[in-house]
Amino acid sequence: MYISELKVENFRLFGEGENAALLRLRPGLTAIVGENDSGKTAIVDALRLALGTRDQEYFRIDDDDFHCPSEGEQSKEIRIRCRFAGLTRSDAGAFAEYLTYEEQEGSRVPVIYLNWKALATERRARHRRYVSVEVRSGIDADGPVFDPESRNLLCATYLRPLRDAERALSAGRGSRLSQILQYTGDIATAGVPYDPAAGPPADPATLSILGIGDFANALLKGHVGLSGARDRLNEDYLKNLSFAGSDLSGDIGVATGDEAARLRQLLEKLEIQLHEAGADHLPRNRGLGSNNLLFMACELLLLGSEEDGFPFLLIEEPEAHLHPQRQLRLMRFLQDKAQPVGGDHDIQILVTTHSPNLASAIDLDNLLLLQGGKAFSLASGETNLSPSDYRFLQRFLDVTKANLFFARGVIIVEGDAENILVPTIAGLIDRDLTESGVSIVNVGGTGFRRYARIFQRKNPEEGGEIDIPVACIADTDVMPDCAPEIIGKVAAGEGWPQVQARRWKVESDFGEGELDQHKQAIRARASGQRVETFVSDHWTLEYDLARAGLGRELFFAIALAKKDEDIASEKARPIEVMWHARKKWKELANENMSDDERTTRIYAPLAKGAASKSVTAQYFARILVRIGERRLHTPEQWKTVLPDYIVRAIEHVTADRTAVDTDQTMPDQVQG
Amino acid sequence: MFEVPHVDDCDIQWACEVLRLPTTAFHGSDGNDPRADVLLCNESLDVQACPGSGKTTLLVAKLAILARKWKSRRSGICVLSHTNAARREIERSLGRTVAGATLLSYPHYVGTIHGFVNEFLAIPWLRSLGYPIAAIDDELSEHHRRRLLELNQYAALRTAVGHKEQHANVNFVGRWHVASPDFLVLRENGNQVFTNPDAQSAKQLARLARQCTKDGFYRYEELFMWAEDLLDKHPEVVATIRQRFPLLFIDEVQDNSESQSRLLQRIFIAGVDPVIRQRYGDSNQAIYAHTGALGAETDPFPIDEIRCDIPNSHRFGQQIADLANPLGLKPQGLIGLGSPLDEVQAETDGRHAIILFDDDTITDVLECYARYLCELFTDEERAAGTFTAVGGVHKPGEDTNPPRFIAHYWPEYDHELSYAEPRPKTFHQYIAAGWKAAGGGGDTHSVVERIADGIYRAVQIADPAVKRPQHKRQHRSILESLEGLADLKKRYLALVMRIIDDKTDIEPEEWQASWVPVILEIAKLLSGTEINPACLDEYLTWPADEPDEEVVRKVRRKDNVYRFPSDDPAAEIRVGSIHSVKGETHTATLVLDTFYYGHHLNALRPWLLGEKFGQGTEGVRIQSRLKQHYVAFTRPTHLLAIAMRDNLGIQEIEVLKSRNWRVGRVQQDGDIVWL
Repeated sequence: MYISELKVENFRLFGEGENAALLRLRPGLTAIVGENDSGKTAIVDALRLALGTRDQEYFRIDDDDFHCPSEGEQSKEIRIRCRFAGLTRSDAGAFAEYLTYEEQEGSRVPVIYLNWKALATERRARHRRYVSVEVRSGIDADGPVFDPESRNLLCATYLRPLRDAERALSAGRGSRLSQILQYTGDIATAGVPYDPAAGPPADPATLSILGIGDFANALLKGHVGLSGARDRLNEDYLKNLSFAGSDLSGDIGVATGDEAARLRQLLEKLEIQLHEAGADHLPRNRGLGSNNLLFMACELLLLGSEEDGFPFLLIEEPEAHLHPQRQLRLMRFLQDKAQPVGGDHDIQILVTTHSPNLASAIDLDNLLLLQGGKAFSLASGETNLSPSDYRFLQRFLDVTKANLFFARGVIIVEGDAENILVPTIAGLIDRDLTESGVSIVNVGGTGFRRYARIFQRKNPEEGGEIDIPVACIADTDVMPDCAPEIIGKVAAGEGWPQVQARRWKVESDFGEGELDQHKQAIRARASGQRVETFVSDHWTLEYDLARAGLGRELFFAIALAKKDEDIASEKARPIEVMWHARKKWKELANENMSDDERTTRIYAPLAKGAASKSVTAQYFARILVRIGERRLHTPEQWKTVLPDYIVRAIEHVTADRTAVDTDQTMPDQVQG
Repeated sequence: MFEVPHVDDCDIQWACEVLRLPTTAFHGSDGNDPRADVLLCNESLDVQACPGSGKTTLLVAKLAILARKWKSRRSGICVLSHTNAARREIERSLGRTVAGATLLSYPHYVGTIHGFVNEFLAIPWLRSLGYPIAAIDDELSEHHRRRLLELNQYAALRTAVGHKEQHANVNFVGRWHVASPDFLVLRENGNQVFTNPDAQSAKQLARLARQCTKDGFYRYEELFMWAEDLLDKHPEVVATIRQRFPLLFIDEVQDNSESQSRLLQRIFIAGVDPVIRQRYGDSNQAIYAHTGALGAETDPFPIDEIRCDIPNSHRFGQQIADLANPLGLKPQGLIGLGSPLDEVQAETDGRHAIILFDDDTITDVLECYARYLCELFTDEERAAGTFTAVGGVHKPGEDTNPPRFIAHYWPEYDHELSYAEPRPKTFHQYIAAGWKAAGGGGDTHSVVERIADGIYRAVQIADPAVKRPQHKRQHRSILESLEGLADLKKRYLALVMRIIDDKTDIEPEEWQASWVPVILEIAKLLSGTEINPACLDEYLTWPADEPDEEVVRKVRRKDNVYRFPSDDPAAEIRVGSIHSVKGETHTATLVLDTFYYGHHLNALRPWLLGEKFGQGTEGVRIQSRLKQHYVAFTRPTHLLAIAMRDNLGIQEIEVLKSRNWRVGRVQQDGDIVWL
């Protein structure tokens, strides 16, 4: 049995009807990712309310928990609906009276709907809100009310974020460890009890845990030191403080009460310590992270040893206190534990995370993206990704790219140069990518559309679109006709190979309108919904930048890049390099040639591999930043010297946000 | 894997303590009592338990022991019966113990067969098919059918109904039984409703049945059909139910009808992996709610191989045992151990009486019986004991062949009040039933609930589409509906207070002027539409007291208790049908002769006279008489009396006397002359 669907209505940021949160979950592990305030915690809390949690911690509904739409009145009714599917025979038996037989591929299968409803009633007389809660079965909540005992079977194990694992694992009244141990098999049953009349068995090791406690208790009581203290306490003090006829007397011991109480008290005295093999010299109790891991291990132990309940684990931010490698290991472990095998003890795990580390370790199929109050499963069938995309992304969607799950906008680029240059260019036109929450994903070569399709829904008309703008920045990769000779693809004056026989293309290879069609074809590869591809007007990003008006800057950047090693080892000073370059630039600028030819000459070292693209990009960016700092140009002026497609790409992912931001930020302070 | 908890003697001792029973309660004074074997047995078992054998106590003890040792949280014990008596008994005797509370909640089920089938099979299935549940009720369902009949699309059917129902006694519409999930409608006896299935009226009937289901109205029996439908389409459900309830107890199993028995057998027993089943009952006491209803053919009770007999009764002494024993279909050889109650000490051996009457003295029989009780029992005993008069037929019918029904003995008798779960016909009867349920205690909750119940009924009479609140106190639900309507709410509460306030009676004028408008207004609010008050006239009548009749205030709250003398009762006799006193224990029981294809006691004369013994080769009619009167004869702890028409011969009277009966004739003044 697993929760296959969760619907949350009128709870915090989630509204009702179209604005409700509807999550489709799969057996095993599901990770909810999304930026802050996207509703991850609301989802977790909704599950905590609907299912209840094993720590029995009561969690009160607040006035603020009732959804308040931007227009209209605050809602009075929170509705949370869980659908349980994949019922085993034992599940169906246990919940026979709550079943709904649902049509699925031609036959009906039993499922369980659990509808949790909180109703706020206004008592006019006292101006106080009362909340009444009801939990019913049935798809429309028209089935019988869940018996409290049957609900207990559905309780989730909940691990809060930034949990204090050390406290949970240390001794003390009601310690989590004692609870865990109490429910673990053999703790209560294995071994023989201690019989005070007969004394301990020949081998005290055969005693049960309680027996060991009772035996120790008996020894302690008889110990001369303790019994002396007790007698003195009673004789010298308590007796004098008692009323006649109702003597007070103290007893010193380990545990009292009936068996269950004594066992509980005994277990509460235990605490767990973690140590690493071969590191006995280190202090036993380790840092927060290790304790956290230990804590989760204990909870899993408990979950795995329970026979009756519904093994559902709800972890907020499992990454808390863990370093990246441990995060990966934990995630793999959880994913493994939750691997469904189709029995009664299949564990379902739901985690929320902010960690790209974790997100990158989880199968895309198991990810659920929360955005704009809506949940988008990234499982196959839900997205536009093809099976080969899933295989590809499984291998290549690593931690450096996984931040796309937490972004408000995504720019997907093909190489390092774009990765370095795009943020700088955004700054020039007054769009700050960081402020806008935009991530740049460098796919390092091809495949950008596979990443883009993560954000495209298969059936947007059903579940809506993911409202995260995605811009793919792509090169046209068509040279001007003059380029092949300049960059040495062909020798001057010699005939060119046939189009089919070469790997490069020039503009004249295309007939009337065919170049536009070519660009259109590139755009079409990743476009639709909030995803758009922006294609360079001519050749590559650097070429187009130079061609649009930054030729000089690129020229200098390349010059610096060529001398990069000398500069790094202080054999050359940048100022000297620049001085030489300026002379050469003057020559080039004064020569009479077409824009295409001049730009190709500027760009040639990059095309030929004579200068590193990424190093050039770094110098190029530095130059642009320096010019920008001088504030000689307004953003509008900058746009006239920048290629249009870059500006539009940046505007695509930042547009709405900056509009909102400027509304909200204070007017610039007058510089002093 | 499921294992029945092991039961040992310690558990039996524990049960005795919890139930406050003597330690020998189950082992017997000689340690040979079959009850202990029943408690220890973890296999399938059929317990044939004689009247007064403490069957329910035995079952409760067994359940308490099992509940205490129950480990599984997903599987439970299923306890089925025909009434909620078992549930009430558990509440009464175990209510405050952990075992009791456990037993009454998840994952166990304790309730009626109908309740079980509805809750675990039919209702989940109907919900899944998208059919709502507005009412599971024969009467409301008939009402809805008749409303639909008014529509033009059912004109042909309406005409056909008109023809069939020319006679006032014929109810054609109410007897339609939806017999299949594709809405094949049959008569109750399984025959076609219309001979020609292609006739317009037949087609309209199927459509009407479908509409009724879409609107959520069902007859009780139809839910069985839906349960069977689920099992037909999903045979695997049987396995899930058995997984949930690996242990089944059936109480009063002798009363199972064929359809119940067949369905239970299909769910729990048939095929591989049957559950462990223990059935408790007395085949000699099989009497049914419906006259003429037949017992179960499938899976008859008891099965000899696993039968366990409990023939010794803690209710009555050997004399009553001997008088009743021949009436058993298969006489068990009743052993009367005597009543353990020490409140009544009266010596009644040789006092068991046959009261003879004629047309002139028939209405004096109850007074005569009352006087006899005063003679035999002290004031204290009469105050402490339970005294009843019961008859086989209590519904009034034609006025021929007296004594035909109970009212022939006592004209004030109102059979509507006598049902264990009454189905009142007026608002006033709802309140009366509420008082009856309150049982003279100070708790008003049952009365308040009945007031709300009665108001919902009014709403449904006016507009059957209105749904009652499910799983919720109806009073609370009305209050919620009145939220925000301060004035009406105040008036509703005033109505409730006025009714539960015991001090003065409501006169019809006051009722009409002050309270009917409140009910009408609430009904209007709940139905959400204008309602026609005329259709509620009859329902909302308040009976006037007969001013010239000298009635003590207590009697005015009609409760079918005969009080003698009426102004200062020395004897109070509860009057009812034999069916209504099943399972009860009385101090004294008077069995009134009644008529159904012949006078019952008269027909049983050969058994009274010792000429016949058991069912022999008798037909169904005699068998059913035997069972019914075996039940009646085995109620009392101290005194058994029967009243029959005076047509015995002298010789017969002598034989009866020799069999420990006292025979006497009622006089017009209620005196009796012993013969």
